[in-house]
Amino acid sequence: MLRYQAQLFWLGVLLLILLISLSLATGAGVYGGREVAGFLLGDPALVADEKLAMIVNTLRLPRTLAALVVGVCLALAASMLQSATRNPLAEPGLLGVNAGAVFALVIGLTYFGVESAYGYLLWSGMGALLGNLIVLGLGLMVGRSNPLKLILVGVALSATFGGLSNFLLLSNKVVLEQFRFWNLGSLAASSLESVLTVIPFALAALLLTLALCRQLTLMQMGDNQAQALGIRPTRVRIGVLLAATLFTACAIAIAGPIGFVGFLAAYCARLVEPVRLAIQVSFSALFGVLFLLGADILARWLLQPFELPNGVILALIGAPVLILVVRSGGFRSLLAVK
Amino acid sequence: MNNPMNDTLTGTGPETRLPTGTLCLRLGRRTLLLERRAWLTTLGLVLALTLLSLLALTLGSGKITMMGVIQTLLGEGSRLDQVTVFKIRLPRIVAVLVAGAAMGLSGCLVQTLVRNRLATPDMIGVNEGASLAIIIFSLYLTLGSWPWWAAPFGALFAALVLYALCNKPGEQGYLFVVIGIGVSELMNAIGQFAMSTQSLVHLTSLYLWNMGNFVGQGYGTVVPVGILILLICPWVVYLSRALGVLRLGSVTARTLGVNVNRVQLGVLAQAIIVAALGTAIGGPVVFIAMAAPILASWLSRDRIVPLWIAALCGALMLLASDTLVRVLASPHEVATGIMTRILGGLLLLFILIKDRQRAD
Repeated sequence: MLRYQAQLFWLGVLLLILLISLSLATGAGVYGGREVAGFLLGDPALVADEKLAMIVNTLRLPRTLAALVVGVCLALAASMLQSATRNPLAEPGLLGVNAGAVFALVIGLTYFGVESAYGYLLWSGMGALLGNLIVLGLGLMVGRSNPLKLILVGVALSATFGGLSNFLLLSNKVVLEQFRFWNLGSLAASSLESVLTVIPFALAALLLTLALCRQLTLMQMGDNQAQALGIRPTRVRIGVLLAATLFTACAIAIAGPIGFVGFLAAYCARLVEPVRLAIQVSFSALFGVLFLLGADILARWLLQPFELPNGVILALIGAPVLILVVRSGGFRSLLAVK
Repeated sequence: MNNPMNDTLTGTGPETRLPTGTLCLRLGRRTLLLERRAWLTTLGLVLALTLLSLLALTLGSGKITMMGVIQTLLGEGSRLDQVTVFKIRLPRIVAVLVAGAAMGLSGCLVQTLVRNRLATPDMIGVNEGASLAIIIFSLYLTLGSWPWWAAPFGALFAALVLYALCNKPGEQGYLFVVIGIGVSELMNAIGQFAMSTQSLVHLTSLYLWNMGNFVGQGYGTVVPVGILILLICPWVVYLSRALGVLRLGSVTARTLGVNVNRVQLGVLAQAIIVAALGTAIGGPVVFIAMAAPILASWLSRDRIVPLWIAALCGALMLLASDTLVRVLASPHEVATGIMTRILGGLLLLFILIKDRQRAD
């Protein structure tokens, strides 16, 4: 890691700690930072306060933890998909993979009565796998000549899957009630249970990602070069697909479809470190958490007493960035090496 | 819109042989050249629209047979039937038809202008801009009444944003469309932000409208919007000939005496206004504007799609989606926009796969 990268990384970590404390200290209720800190450190007077315990244990703590896990998952899913498709605009949200996972989950809710956190994870995982396979397959069918085409494929898939999920939801009131708790693209309803269920799977995907980083870095030179160095590109790609699927499934199971985080995080990470994936991926994860946590704090704070969906804030930042990236032609950088 | 080459042929004298497959109407010195296929297609579409409208009037809760519907329309039938047909079902169908026609027309105008099948008002954010204006006006400024007249301003705003972001819209292919998608995401996010400032209870109908919904339409919006669109129609017809010439390329068009800039600006203005008015009725129903001209070009087997056929196709497709969603979702009400989203996404995929040779 270069010197300025290391400085940036530690700056990011500091900012992260600041945001975590801010996230724990703000929200509904009269309790500020001092009370929450005292409660978490085990101050007997504050631990005895039932209302404070309720607010921290069921609202602020799960929400902050969820932002951490979901931020890492979305950012790494985007980074993995980008390296698999060699398309710097690739992201589960923009490619329609999120919509596919949600659709599968809605089917699970409607026809199979899914209730447990494992069930959520299983169904969204199947949907994410299917979505990834469809996107990659269609990506081959429409040709790789233009990275923008893959985005249009994503728009089409998002529309179809999103429409189907909405149709099922609106024509089935029972599921709609259950679905409301899972709240489209918001961290407000995340429970400690679902976060704890998901963490082992996210860790597994993280290990897989770290194991693949070296090979992926070499594969950037092109498949032939990589093969000459003893790498099996197909096997690596399957691993990447698996990791991206797991990450997407974990994020969806906790928070529903949140767009643009992965795109923003992975894009910024590439600006910091364009080549070595191990470093790029660490920055991507850091940025993902920072963006999501920041957006979540803003979502709680901007429009009190109402709450914004996280996706709105992220789209307000992400859409202009997407436009600028597309406009400046920055998306072609990955195509230079084939 | 006739092929301009044919017009110059017929102008040389009465003995000139007509191009195959066309009819010629003469009135004094003026001649009107009609393409037989286009007129047959138009007739077929009108027939299909009539039948589908009758079917849509028949379907729904409360049983009326199709004969009963026809009798009620002719002024007979029981009071209950009259209320059902005239107060509940007919307004919705009229709204769907007007909105669909407006979307088909505006889509065809923009597609022809920028020569890109994917560049339609609903893809590039114009419709989202229109609905953003309506959301903001109805939330903050015109409490209670429906500010349909605000839609063109929002659409114009979105178009200006898009114009500022792209230098030469026509030449950029996918780039233009993806930037437009970014603009439409942005407009949508601002609209969601505005709606989040109010408590959810007051917003149910606005949320549904924003998905593309025709439930509970009265004549209040449709009638003024329809009249405005009809008033714009002569202007569209006036410019359509020049638009047809413009398709031969701007250099050729200039040689043939077309004021290229003025025609482009005029057609763009028409497209924006018509798209916005279409959105004002039932919300930003997506993909109709893209699908209608494509269906029209398949039907008329012509690369230059007649505008009115695109409008008829738009009305037909939106009515079909609306009827389909009513039948499939009953007894629940599901927004029409959801059905067009499902079908339109598949169509977009199909187009992308078919166009894979295009390299821009």
